[in-house]
Amino acid sequence: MTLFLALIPALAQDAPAEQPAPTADSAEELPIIEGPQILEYIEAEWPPGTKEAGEEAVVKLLIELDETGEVANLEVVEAAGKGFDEAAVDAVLAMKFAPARTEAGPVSVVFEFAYGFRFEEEEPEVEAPKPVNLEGRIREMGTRNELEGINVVIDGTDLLTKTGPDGRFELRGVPLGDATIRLISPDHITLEKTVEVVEGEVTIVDLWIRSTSYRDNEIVGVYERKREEVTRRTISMEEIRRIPGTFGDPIKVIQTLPGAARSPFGTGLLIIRGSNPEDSGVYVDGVRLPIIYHLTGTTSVLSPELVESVDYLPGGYGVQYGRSMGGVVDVKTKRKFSEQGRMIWGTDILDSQVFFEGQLGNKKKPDGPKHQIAVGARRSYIDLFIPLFTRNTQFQIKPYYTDYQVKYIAPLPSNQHFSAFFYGFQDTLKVSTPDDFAQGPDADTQGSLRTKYASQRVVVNYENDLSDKLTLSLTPNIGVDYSSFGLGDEFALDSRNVVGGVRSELRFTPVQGVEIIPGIDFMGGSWWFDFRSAVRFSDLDDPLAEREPVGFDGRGSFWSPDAYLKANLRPLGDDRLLITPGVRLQAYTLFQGGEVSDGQKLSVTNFQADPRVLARWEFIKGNTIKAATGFYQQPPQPQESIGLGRVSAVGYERAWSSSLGFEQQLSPSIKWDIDLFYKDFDNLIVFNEQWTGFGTDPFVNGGDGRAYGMEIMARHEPTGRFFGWVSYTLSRSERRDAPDQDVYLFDFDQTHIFSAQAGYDLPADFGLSAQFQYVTGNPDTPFNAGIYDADADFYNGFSTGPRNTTRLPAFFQTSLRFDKLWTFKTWQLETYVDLLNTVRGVNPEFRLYNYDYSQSAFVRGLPFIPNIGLEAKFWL
Amino acid sequence: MRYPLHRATLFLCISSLSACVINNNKFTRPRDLEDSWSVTKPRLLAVQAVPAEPRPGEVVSFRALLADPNGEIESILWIACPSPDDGGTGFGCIADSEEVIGLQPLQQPIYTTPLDLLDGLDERARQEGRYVLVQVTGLPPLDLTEPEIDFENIDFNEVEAGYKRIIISEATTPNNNPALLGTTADGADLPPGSVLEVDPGQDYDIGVILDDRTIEEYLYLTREGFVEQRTEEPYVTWYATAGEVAEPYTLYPFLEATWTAPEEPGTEGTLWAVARDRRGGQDWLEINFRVR
Repeated sequence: MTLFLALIPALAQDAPAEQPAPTADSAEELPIIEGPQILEYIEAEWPPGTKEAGEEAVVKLLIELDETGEVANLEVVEAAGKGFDEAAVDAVLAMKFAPARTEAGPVSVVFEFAYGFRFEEEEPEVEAPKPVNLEGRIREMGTRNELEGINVVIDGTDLLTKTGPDGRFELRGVPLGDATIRLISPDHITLEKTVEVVEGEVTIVDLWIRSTSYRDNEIVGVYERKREEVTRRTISMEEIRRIPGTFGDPIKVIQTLPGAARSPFGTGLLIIRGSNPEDSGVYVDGVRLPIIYHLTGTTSVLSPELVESVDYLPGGYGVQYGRSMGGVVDVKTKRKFSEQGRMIWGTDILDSQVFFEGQLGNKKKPDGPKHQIAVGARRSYIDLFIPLFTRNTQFQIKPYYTDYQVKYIAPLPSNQHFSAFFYGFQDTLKVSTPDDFAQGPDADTQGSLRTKYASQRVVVNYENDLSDKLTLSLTPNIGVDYSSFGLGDEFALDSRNVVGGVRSELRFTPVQGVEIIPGIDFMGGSWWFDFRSAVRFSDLDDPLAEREPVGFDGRGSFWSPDAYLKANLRPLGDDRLLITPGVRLQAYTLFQGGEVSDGQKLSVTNFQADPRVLARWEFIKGNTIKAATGFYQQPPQPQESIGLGRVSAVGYERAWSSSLGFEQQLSPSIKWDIDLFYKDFDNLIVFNEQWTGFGTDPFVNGGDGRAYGMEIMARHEPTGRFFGWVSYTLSRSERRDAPDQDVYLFDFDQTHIFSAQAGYDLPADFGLSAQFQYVTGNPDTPFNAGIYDADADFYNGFSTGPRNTTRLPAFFQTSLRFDKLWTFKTWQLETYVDLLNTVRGVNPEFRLYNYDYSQSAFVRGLPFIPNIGLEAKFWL
Repeated sequence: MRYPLHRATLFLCISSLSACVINNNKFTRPRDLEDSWSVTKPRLLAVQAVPAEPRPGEVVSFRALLADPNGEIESILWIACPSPDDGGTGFGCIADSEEVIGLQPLQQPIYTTPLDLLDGLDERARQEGRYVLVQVTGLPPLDLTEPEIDFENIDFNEVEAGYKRIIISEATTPNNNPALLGTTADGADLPPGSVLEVDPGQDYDIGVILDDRTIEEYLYLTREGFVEQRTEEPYVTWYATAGEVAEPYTLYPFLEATWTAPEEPGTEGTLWAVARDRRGGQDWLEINFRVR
């Protein structure tokens, strides 16, 4: 296991070395309890001529230390030149270190190390101590942190000291009169302050210094947890926030990673390794969400400030994830909030949000237990702007969304964790036209269009390291989903679900290298819907049919008590070789009643087993082969599984998925990987051509297909000032609706998907990042002609060619982001300009035909969008 | 500490070039697609059957509104064939047509409905009736003196084809076609056959006068066996060879549409209004115009 540590204080060559400081606790179950220690410090040889010239220097190094304390890799990240770099490298390589440790034992770490070349101070003459006449406190601007280890120098004297843990210092015998205090720190901008020292008095100062780069403070840690999945890509929040075109949303960044196809109009649909959007699962702290994006598709339903990491698993994942054939996106919220309370307010052209996090404890017991809490809320205001453009008409479009979150973490011993998380969101869209405007010739399709979706969840999480061999986790949750759709007075569909579940897992290590993990993933709840329509489905093709309104409701419940068993086998005793066999037992039972069942109480039960095996082998340090194979089965969507007056015969869809890959860590900050995948689909749910209405199933398990391809990614970790990655996917995905029908390209098949993004920290807290995307156009079925229906008064288009035999033009987009961070004593202000689609490519999203299909035009995607925003952070 | 400013400078230069807004117009835009009300080529706009809802064994005559602003259509072929049970049209009457019922201008379309079409159906189904499809195809100049016309080798991209459903039933209140009595412009009646003189670029409210007596009340037997009295809800579709129509559809009682006259003086053209009663009945009128 390799861990990255945050920047550590510089080491002065003339002083005993300070120990590298470990990070705050990670969000994972294995935090660092002891950082790496210097056992034997080696003084470097000064480069020739530099000491005589009085030259001092600081060389910053990136050191990878393995589990035995040996230096596995060493990289100069900020060079001083003149031979100082080489001298520092030689000295560090000769040093002896003790490795960092977690509760599980020594682990490898990567950390920054500043080696200083400074002259020793001359020993002062022993004399009677003079009284303290200057003292003060040094704090950091923005964070208000009290800074330890800051060098305090009085100009023109030999007086020098360092601040203590509380940021305080004191000096004796400062000459009377004006004294210039100089504060020196490798991580802060040097500050000079002149004060007057008066005889018989103690001059007290309260000084603020500015960090050289506040962005480093936001990187709590970028680490790789225990690698149980074959392909898991984890991106830090700092990277996520700075990718242009994603509006700072952590989940939108998924679409820049290999295996994820581009979604139309940037709507955020997750199309992973040739699977349908509904085939992939999105989890928040282990609980699956029905939708993850607001209706604009630009932002997810969670505040980015609550998100600690987003794991993207395009395939080859273990049995703890089920009910999906596609990929998995696992969002983890923070498990620790800022000790120093902070409040954030952010706004851009789409929405405005506020966020607060902090720890609450007894002020009289500063080291006592602390309750942690975070609260966030967001509201869009597009609906306030659009009327400005439509005020001269009676047309109105009102999209609106909001989301809210509250999370509490209890103060428990370090081997336990308890949190309660409540969150919810609501999306509404209303489109209305003037009363005298005909929305087509059909009298039943007049009126306002309205759609609404809302969801709330409560998730409780409890974890306990019962012993060094046994860990328990328990996550009960409950929630409600509500949706509503209506057109005028004639069409309406309302539904409501109450959903609950329990996730629980035991991790048992009977012997070293063997971890047994049984788990349950239970979901259940009740549902209800009401449907009203002015026309029956069977009359849709007949414009002369006398219309009889149809309406029916349905209600019922569903239960899905999935269970799984997997093992993590480490034959070599460590993570170099990991084999994970597992099996997931899946089942669901659907009860239905109401008018949709023609008054009957019906039930259907289906169950399946998914065996899977994953393996990773680091055969040479930094070089890993990975492979996975197994079954991934998915129950029908709710609308597919409800029988109309009968028990639905629709069952699980199935995919057999395999992958083979290779990863290489070229340096502590650069890695690349390649994956080959193949998926075979069967039992796919398709529309029933023999459907005749009530009493027959509208859907059947009649389809099959396959998807295969290659994914490549090269990444520079966010260390130093630069981060970025390049990803490329070459793939093909096909479907067939019945064995006797032709194979056609999947509707979102994209042969080439290329994405490159990079960011660079400029001086003075400016930032610049860019993104470039090239994607093959989606398949398209051209219509050749139209025949006029004189009764319906429209043309029926028809194609004489197979489905999806042509393609839309390729997608091409470049986006830029500029940001600037201002830091004041107690708050920070970040402003940014996010230029989406700076090169205004055409980027057709779909083909639109004229009335008789004799002409066509492309409906273009997002135009050039300048998103201007600001975010203010206050430390309390 | 040294900052690689040269890298940032290069980045900014590239970014500046990338930030140029390039307006790419190589693809047709949706707004450039021809509107449904625009008639610039042969178009079948309506088909009327008389009677609108015949009984088995009854003789039906037809007329079609096939707008042909450039005189490209020389003949109209009429074919009748069975209809799919769902009321759809499938691919219409193609190739293996059962019956050619007309070839205008040589033969006016006449069709005798099958006497046994409703045999074997119950009372409700006989009242509801069954469909027969009539396909109407406007053909370019053909050598009609040939003893046989090779219809299978006609290029259908050069023809205008459409179809109409004929409901053959024993309904107690069979449908009748709506009747348009006249046209108006800005509220004033237009004499039949007159030419409307318009000013360039001006808006006019073009209307039709619908005989309210043809808005029928009829009886409908629901699936559950109840008899309901219903009233037709007709609508009008508007077409023009030039100018611009603001509302392609108007729903009864709104029987006027705003039309903007062409800008070019001397332009001549035609407006059509087609009324449909949603039960298969159709009627139409046309207005010829000239821009001053």
